[in-house]
This record gives sequence, C-alpha cells and structure tokens, in this order.
Amino acid sequence: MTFLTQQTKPRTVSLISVLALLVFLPLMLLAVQNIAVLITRATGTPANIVVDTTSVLEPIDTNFYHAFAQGGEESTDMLAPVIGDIRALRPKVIRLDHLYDHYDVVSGSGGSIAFNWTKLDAAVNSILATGARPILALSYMPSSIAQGGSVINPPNDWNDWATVVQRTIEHFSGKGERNLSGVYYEVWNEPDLAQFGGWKPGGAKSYMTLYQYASTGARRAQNVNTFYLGGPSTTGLYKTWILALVQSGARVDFLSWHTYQADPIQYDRDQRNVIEWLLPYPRFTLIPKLITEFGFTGDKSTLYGAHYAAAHAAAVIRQLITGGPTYLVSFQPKDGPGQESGNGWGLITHETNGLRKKPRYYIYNFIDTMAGSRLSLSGEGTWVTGFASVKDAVIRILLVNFDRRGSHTENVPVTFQNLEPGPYSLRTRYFLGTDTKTTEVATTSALTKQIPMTSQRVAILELSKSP
Amino acid sequence: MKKIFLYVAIGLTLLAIPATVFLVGQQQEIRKRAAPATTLSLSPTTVTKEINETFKLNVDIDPATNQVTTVKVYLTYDPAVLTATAITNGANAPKILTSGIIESGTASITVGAASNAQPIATRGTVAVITLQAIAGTGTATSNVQFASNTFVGGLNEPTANVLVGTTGASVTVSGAAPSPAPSLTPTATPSATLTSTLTPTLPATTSGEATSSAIQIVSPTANDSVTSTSPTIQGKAPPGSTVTLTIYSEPQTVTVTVDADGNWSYTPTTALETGPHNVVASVITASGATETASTSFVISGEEGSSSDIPVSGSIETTILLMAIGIALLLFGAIVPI
Repeated sequence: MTFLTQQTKPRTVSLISVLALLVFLPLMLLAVQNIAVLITRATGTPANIVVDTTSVLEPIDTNFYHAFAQGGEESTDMLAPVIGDIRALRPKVIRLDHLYDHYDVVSGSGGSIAFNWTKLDAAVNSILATGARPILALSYMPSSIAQGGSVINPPNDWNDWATVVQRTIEHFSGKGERNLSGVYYEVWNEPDLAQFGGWKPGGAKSYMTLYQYASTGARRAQNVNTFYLGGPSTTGLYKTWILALVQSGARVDFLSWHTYQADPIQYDRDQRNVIEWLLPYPRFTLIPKLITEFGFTGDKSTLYGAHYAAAHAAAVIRQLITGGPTYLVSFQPKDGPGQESGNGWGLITHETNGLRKKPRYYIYNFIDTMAGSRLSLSGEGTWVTGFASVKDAVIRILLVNFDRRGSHTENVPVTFQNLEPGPYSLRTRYFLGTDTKTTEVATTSALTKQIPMTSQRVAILELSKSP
Repeated sequence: MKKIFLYVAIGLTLLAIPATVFLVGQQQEIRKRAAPATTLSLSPTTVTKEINETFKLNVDIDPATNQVTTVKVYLTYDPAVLTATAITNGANAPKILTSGIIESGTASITVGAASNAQPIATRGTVAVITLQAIAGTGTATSNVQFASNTFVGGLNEPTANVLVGTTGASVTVSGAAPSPAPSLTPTATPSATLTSTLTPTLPATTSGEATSSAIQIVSPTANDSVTSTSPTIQGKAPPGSTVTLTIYSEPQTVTVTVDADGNWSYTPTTALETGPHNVVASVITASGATETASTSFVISGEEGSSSDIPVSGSIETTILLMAIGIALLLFGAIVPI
C-alpha cells in the first residue's frame, strides 16, 4: 500500500489514475512519434561513391542553372543597385514579373489604350546590363482594362488584353523598337494562386482564355525577332494545366512551372512526369521546359541566408545535371526591403541591409568548376549525392550533403576506378571552406579516399596525374 | 472560233492529266509517310565476352520515313549475367529528356532530337548502354531486349508511337552459367527452358517499311474515337504467348495470355481519361526478338470525332476513275451533239 492509497478513498485514487492517464497518453504518443522520426532519419543509406574514370558520358551543361527571377517586392528597378554583382553570376536569363502593375505601362482601354515603357525599359535595361536575356512574365492585368480595376481579374474586353500582349512583344522584340531576340514571354505568374487570381485550367475564370488571347496578341505582333510564348507558370507542375495548354491549340513555345520543394528528388521526378505526359504529343516533348522559380520553400526563411540554401541548390542541380530543364530559375537575386532578419529569398540582401552576399550567391560559379564530360558515378546515398566529370585529364567529383533536417554527418568513401597506377594530385575544395592539396599514389587501378561531409556541405574533389 | 476553243480545252485537259497524277501521287506520298515505320535495334547483335569485361551496346534507330522527336528506350537483361553501369544518349539524339535510370535488370533513358525543326530522320545511334558481364552463360546466350514500354514519338503521324519493331542483342559470356539459386524448386520454370534453347543469332533488323508482325492490334484501330473510358483492346499473337500491353498517357502495363486461337484482349480495369491514348503491345518471339504493334485512339466521351485522320489507301482505283472521267469529258467535248 502506498501513502496515497492509505490516505485517500479508492474512488479518488481511480479518478486520479484516469486523469493521469488522460494527461500522459498524448505526451506518450508525442514521444513515440518523435522517436519514430529519429529512427526514420537514422535509416537512410550512406553514400559509397564510385567513379569509373574511363566511362565518359555526355557533355555537362553548366548554363541551365545560371538563371534568376526577381520578384516584385518593390515597384522599382530592383536590380539596378546590384548589376555588377549579378553580372558576375554570368546569368543567361533573368525573369521579371509584375510588368503591368509595377511599371505604369498601360493606361486607357479600347481605342484609347496607351503605353508608357519608360519604367519597364529601365528594369529590362538592368537585366540586359547583366548579360542576361529577359523572361517577361506577362502579369498582371493592367488595372485600366481589368474588371473592377483589379489586377488579378479578367479584362473587360479580352481584345484589350490581346493588344497589351501584342504591344509588349512588339516593343521588346520588334525590329524597329528594342530589337531583342530570344525573349521569353510567360503568360502570367502563378495563376493558380488565389492572390494572383485563382485562375483555373477551365471554367468561368479560365487561364486558357487568358492564354488564348495572349496567343492572339503574339500572332498579331508585326516585324518582330524570334520570341517564345509559354506558360502556365503554375505554383507546381500540374498535369491538368500542362495537358490543357498543349491541347488548347494555341501557340505554346515553352512550358513553365515553379517548384518550391525541399526534396531534390522531386525536381527529377517532375522532369520524368512532364515528359511521360507529353509522349502522346510528340510536338511538345522537345519544347523548352522552364522552372521559372525554385527554392526549398515558398515562405520567407532565414535558411535562405544559410549554407542550407546553397546546399539545396547544389543538390537540385545535381538531380537535373542530365535530363534537366532548359532553365532552372533561382528565386531571387535581391531581397526586398524590411528583411533585416535575413529571411528574404534573395542571393543578396537589400541595399537597406548592406547588399551582403549570402552563401547561395556563390554556389553557381562553384559548380561551374564541374564543366566537362560527365563520368559514370554510382553509390549515392540518402543524404550525400554527387556527379563526376572529366576535362583536360582532370577528374572532378562534386559531393553535396543536403539534409533537410540539418544534422546528418557522414564520412564518405570515394573511389576512383580504372586509374593508371602512379602518383596523383588530389585537391579537396569545400564550398566557402578549406582548399587542400595532397599527393596520392594509386598502387592499383583504384584509389579510395574518405571525405568528411558535415550537413549542408558541398565539396569538389579534383584528381589529376602528377607529372 | 469554236474549234480554237475546243483545242484549248483539249490542251488544258492533256496538261491537267499528268499534273493531277503528280499531285495525287504526292498526296499518296504524304499518306504513306503518315504510317509508323520506325525500328530500334541493338548493335552489335551478338557479343561474346569474358566475365568482368565491360562492353557497350548502341541503340540504333531506323526512322524510315518517320520524323522522330522522342525515343524512350527501356532495356531489360538478365541481372544474374549482366549489370548495366551507364546509359547515355547517342549522336543521333542530342537531347537527354530524362536522365538514365539503371536498376537490377533494367536500364532506361528518354532522348530527343535537337528540335522539332530538326527531327531524327536518318539512321543512327540514339543511346549507348554500358554493360559488364558478371557471370558466365555456359553454352547458352543471355538476351538484352527492348521492353514493351519503349516508345518512339513521331511528328505528323496518325499515332504518336511510330515504333513497329525492335531487335535485341544476345550476349555469350565465357564461363559456366550461374548455378540455380538454392531456393528454386526442382521443377524447372518454363523461362529457364526457353533461355537455354535460344539461338545465338537474332533476325536481321527489319527495314523501315512495316512488315507482317507476330503481333497485331485489331481494335481499336488507329485514331478510333471511342466513347467508353474502358475500351477493350483486342489483337492477335502466337497462341499461348504472353502479350505485354502498355497504355499511355498515364502508363499502365499489363500482361495477357494469348488463347489457343491466337486472340488476346484486355479491358482496362481503371477508367482512362478522355483524350488521346497510345497502346503498345509486344510479344517475345521464339527467336528472342521483341515484336511490337501500336495503335492510338481517342476517348471522346461522345460519338464521332473531328480529329480522325484518314488511313493510307491505294490510289490505283482513284486514278482509274479519274482517267475514265477525263476520257468521258474529252469524248463529250470532241463528239458533236
């Protein structure tokens, strides 16, 4: 008999027991769930990287990820203060949205519709000054032609929307105007999102109507250079939207979508899905596919200022290094204002916050080191992935340990196979970290090294024959 | 004056006859082109290797008259004998649309032409697979074959999949065949028997023209418009053989057994979406080659379809009727009333 049972009535003991059970049961369930999470995290596969140095595959494309999208956090030419820094990223394309609600382009409607390109021209000039081609997201509806004046509504007259698109294309791609070649015109931005209109692939507020009239405007554009019209620029890759567009009969030069997913594998999965969906439509399998915004989350996060974001970008690029999209567009070059906590999406902080470069800013050029022909690599793990290349007899392996929960560390065995025995120089470069050179001797045709990889670390190994 | 008019009419008619024949011939050429005729083959078709040796097989395409944009290569092999180490694109398919996947016994990749304006229209290599021999085959051979979900997309064709035939490769690996796994029951499986009786030589690659195949899809016929979302797919193949069916665009792969009369049929158990669908049926012949047949149909949800594309037909009857018509016209013009 315990003290409690001696001093209290049996009914009270029972009541206390039941109450205790009620309190502790949820806590116990929570504990079990946490243990399950910990066990799951521990049950991945560690990497054991093996590179066949004689198995040379296709050339590696290092252009597709030099692509950036500046969001409309300010109604100004946001890139102007960072042109030099962005030029150093060697961008191939830079995307701009909010064309019609931030740059005062359109006024009037119908027969009295008028265009003023001054502000938008300045923003596009900044893009061109970085060496990139513009991707112009035709968004949102100019308030002067929109129903109720709302920029996320359909126009009062669809012909006005067609005219807006026509004039935009004629202005930037027109031989007698800005004379730009190869501009991508993307119809709208995230149309499926409620804050951008909540358009649907059919029905009363149909994106397909919006697209069809944009296509009409594109068809009417006169005396223009080569340009590309596409969409649907949805918040993710959605089959119904993609198929609705390719079945619409409208001009579709490229397909686009956004991906804000932490799991790098999802990016590869999307590529496979879109090609599989398009197989019955052979005319569309080869048209460019653009992920016109990507990141590990669509929300603001201080992790965008950490190595986490750089490792995520590297892990995604690894997934798409072969069979990837035409462009993988990082969102975004520069933070908006008021993000002093460092939670902005930018590669560079806002001018009010010192224009400081975050780790992700440096990852693109670091990965460029991998240019060359891809080598066969096997043994990637749950956390550590990578790819290999050879150029001018230098063998390189990129390793990235991207752990979504941020705690996994691994000592990765890396084996170079089919080497000529003899001395080699091995350079181990950690991203924004140490850079060491050692001499290794391959006594057989294989050389194995252990590479420590803490979480969110990216490394490039370079092996070359010593003279 | 009347005579001059008559001569002009006769002259114009005489000019019109060869012009009409030429134009009809061109039309026939377009229709002829609008037929799946592409073949895929592995080269070399026979390989002899030692254990641990690595070798490459080219996936070669003969597009015949097709204009190919996309090639989804899906290869199968015996993982007890071979292991794939890499798969990439070949010179004739400069784009990799989805990266290669290598799993035990399978390797796949989807590759493409440079652009729609530059489709694959000549013979060449579209993919290259690297394999390593890991066990001997004894006196038998081990086959590397195209699976039924291999797909070749062509432009301006009545069916999206223009693949009509594939030819695999046979590999002999010096050394004893791997001993059966201890878990095997004493009764040999039919497939083991089949493997040991395969001849090492494979039939030569067929030409671009479609030839009589061991497998046919009887219905739906090309570009049929059907209302049912679970249409029955029927065909013919050697009695007792197994037909592998893959239905696109949401791939469903099933196998059906051919009855004693050489008929097979399958009705999808889950409803297909409205819109176009492609079906690829394949069967492995006694020689080890995979023969395929494909068709496409549209689930319209309503009777009739405006998207039907006329099938290719003979022009002889048309020319004969036209010639009779022209002769009657001339007769009518020359003979005075």
